[in-house]
Amino acid sequence: MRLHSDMGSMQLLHMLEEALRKERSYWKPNTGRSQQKNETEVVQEQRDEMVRWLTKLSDKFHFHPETFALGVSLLDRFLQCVKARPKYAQCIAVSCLYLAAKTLEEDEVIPGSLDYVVDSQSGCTVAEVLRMERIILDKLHWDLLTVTAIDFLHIFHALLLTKHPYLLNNLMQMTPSRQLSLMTQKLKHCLAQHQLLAFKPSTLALALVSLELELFATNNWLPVTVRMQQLVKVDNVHLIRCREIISRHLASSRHINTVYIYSTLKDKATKRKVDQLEDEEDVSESIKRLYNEEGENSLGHCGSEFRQELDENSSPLQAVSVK
Amino acid sequence: MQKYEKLEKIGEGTYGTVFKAKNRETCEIVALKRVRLDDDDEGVPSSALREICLLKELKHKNIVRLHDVLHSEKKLTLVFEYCDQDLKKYFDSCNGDIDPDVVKSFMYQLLRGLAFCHSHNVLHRDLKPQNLLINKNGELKLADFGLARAFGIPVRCYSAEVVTLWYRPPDVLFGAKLYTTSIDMWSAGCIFAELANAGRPLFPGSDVDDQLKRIFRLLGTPGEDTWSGMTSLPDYKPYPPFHVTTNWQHVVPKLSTKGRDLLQRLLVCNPSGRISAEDGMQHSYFADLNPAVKQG
Repeated sequence: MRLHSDMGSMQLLHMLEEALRKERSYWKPNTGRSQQKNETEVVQEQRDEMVRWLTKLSDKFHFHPETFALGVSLLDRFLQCVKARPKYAQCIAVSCLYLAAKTLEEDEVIPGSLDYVVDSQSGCTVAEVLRMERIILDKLHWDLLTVTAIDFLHIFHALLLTKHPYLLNNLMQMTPSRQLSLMTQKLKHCLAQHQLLAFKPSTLALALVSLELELFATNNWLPVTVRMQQLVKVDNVHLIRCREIISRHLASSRHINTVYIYSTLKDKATKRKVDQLEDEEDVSESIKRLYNEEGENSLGHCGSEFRQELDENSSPLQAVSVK
Repeated sequence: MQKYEKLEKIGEGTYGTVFKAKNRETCEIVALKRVRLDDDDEGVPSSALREICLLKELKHKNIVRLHDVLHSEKKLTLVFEYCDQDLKKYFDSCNGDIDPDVVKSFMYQLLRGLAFCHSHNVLHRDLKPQNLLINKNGELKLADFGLARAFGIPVRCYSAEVVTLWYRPPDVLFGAKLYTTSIDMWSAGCIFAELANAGRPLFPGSDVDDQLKRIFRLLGTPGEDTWSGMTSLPDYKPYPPFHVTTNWQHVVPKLSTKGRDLLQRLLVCNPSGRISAEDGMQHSYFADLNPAVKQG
């Protein structure tokens, strides 16, 4: 598998450290304005609506999930530092996504500003978007390269693959790339949930990963979560709270239609999950190549190392449970 | 532009004109990179945006320092620390002879700057002598981050349209889109040989095909045995089996045995076999490096 040759677990841990350092340097809990009807300012509900719209736009322009997540992050940071009138909400959102694309997408993928503005059907003009671009850059001091929950999800997933391949080997019809693209879809939905802005991107990603692990790897999800929790240094209370909000949100989400099929296989109940996600296969394709999933199965060789590490560090987390 | 007094034009970057200028208050000499915004409707060019965002995070003595960004409706100006010349011009001025200690010092500084970029998850993707700046104190600085990008877990493809031809690695020449820090290490190898030969480029190819032939003539045509996955790269095509007959002493006559060893660890066709910047700095070639350079 390609990931192995290119990135050892040391490198992944370094990457995680670097991402956590960045997160510490800019992240603050969202003190967003909500509840009271406020007509002079963008409120949380509108923010969520904008994010859902950006999800669609991002898919339309074939941007990567990282780009979408960065666009949302810019939007939230901008709304934190200015009082924006609701009538500018769309213009702000569409400009944030454009800035994210210019930062993270390759030039071949970035649409020209006229195409972008027309195709986004945002109702604003090129001049308005470019003026907003300038205001956003100024307010955010050109610090656009923030780390997002998607970045953390990629790191956690890669760490799991390198250190815990046995967790993923049990999964029926669930290749690593499929699993990653499913989690990515779920995370994208979570980003449109303002209650989750109270949590750091690393906490959000870890909470989602641990929920997935619980779903797929019944016996081992807890120690693995604890180990990752130690790496990220998030306390139980936050993690549990975040897990609760995520599962409540995903359960009520109309977009992700999750069905569980229980079937007995080799004396063992295996959960098979069927998700009906519109363009999930698209995502899989691009990731599949990376993981060289055509036929090869070489996930195995680092598993034991981490298992040992786990045994030494086992400090079972008691309280993590959802509902 | 009141704060700075423009002195003279230095050159053209990938996306803007560069001027030497003086800060009127402090009299500090700076370099201004100026991007005109009025003749198109694209806003801030992506290359300028990436360069600014990345350089704001990369503060290191071997990376050009971005002091300030001035942004108006009509133009965007990046204010950089001033360096006297780039490595290309340095080559032109040294008449085919560079002191081996200078070669060693420049190479070490190049690797140190790269190691810093890579540890901060940034790929430069356009290393070449024109993009390495040299100041009076013999300090070398990586510049022009217009093609650079932040990288994450390689779950996605990047552009294969990167790196100036002569410094482009064979995997990217074959259209590889899943690359990582090794892309810069190949360029560093090419620059090392060019330094050792006082400015004679190692692989001055005329097109992709010629470029690959030049590389394989020197290093031997790789096969699946030494580079698994090569034949499935997007633009792969077979090349005549050149056999390695290279006498490295002939290729880089002024470079020491240890230097030649480091060079051969950089110029490896298979990207996963290339030495990293961090490991390169530990190579025995640098054992007798001037301690002042090592400490910086």
